[in-house]
Amino acid sequence: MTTVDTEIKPSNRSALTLLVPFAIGAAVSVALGVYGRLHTATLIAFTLPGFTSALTVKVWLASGAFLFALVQLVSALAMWGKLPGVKRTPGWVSPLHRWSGRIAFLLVVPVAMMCLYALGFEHSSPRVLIHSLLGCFFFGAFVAKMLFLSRKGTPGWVLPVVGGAVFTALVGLWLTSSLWYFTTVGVKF
Amino acid sequence: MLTRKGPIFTLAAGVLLAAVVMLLNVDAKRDRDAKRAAASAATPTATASRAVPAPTTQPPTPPCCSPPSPGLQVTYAGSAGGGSIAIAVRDGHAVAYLCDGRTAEAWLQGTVSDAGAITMTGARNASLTGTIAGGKASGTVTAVGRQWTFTAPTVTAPSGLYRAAAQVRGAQVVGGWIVLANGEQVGMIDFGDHEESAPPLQGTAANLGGTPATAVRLDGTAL
Repeated sequence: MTTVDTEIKPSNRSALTLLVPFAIGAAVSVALGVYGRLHTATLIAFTLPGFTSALTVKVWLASGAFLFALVQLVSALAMWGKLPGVKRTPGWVSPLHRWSGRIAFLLVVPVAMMCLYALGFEHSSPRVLIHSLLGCFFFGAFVAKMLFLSRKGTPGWVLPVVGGAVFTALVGLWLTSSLWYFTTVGVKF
Repeated sequence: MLTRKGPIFTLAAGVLLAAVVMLLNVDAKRDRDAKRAAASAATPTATASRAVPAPTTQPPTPPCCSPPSPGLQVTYAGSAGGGSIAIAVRDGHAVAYLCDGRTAEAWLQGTVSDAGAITMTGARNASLTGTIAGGKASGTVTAVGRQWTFTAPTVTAPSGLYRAAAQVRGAQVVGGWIVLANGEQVGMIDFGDHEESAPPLQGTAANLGGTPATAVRLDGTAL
């Protein structure tokens, strides 16, 4: 934690401001992974009406979240003045960012619960291992980001870094699940 | 310290949603277990409150069955060039297990088209192509560095495809069994770092290297 000491006021309070959300996020990631390993795979999860299996439900929910994640990336760039050609960020961009993020999160929560319950943390192939690791990481990083957002005194670099990690993890999750499904099994509901 | 409550509400909504989905999961499993119990009780008129007449069992052997019609569950099991194969199909989704009982095994997942074409893939570049016609599945599997040609007729429970998973000393252990029409069993256990022949199932009771587990008869929707 040397960066904490050098980049922000070296008071215990600001170090805690950084440490607590990261620690809680890490705990969430570890807890999900441990549950995924210890829980015996049931090989069944609930299925939404209109879909043929839990697998296709997950594939499409994750794809929806992926689209909202793209909105997240563009709106975040606009909010931080990094979007080429956009000088003044319109007032509706922040609400768009908040709500597209909420929707993306609420779309992937059921996916994670179905994965954890029916399959768990697996490592039978590189794809499955990467997916399992990213899944645990994503929710820890997301929790950390929400906690940072709700606190004051967070250094300016934290939100872009954690937000970028959340976005990257979600893209990786989508690539190792939905895109894999679409390309190997087909586009099915 | 808290200045904004929105993100906390977002997390709370996520936790709530997670709880709801978990309850629905548990319900789906209970539903499946009830159907399975009804099926194994061999009384088709079992009146367990939720048990719709056992869709996990075979419908009374379709006499000519070309490709399975939607909603129908069919399992094919037979020999595959030195090994055995079982393919469970439901709603156009298929799960297959190829196993020689000694050194080679492969799990595959894929689809069955309306015309009866089977296309499946598995870990380590395993693949299966085949067709379903006249109540039989036939085709070729590429797995474990070689090709396996198979012909597999429909089978009815308790014949079929079984899988059991457990945590053994921290590792995920998965066993697979093919129960052929004559009752003969072929199975292997993947311990993560090595594979072994599996002791035969006793009903659905499996022995995964000393760890007891319950095998599930797969219906083709998912591994």
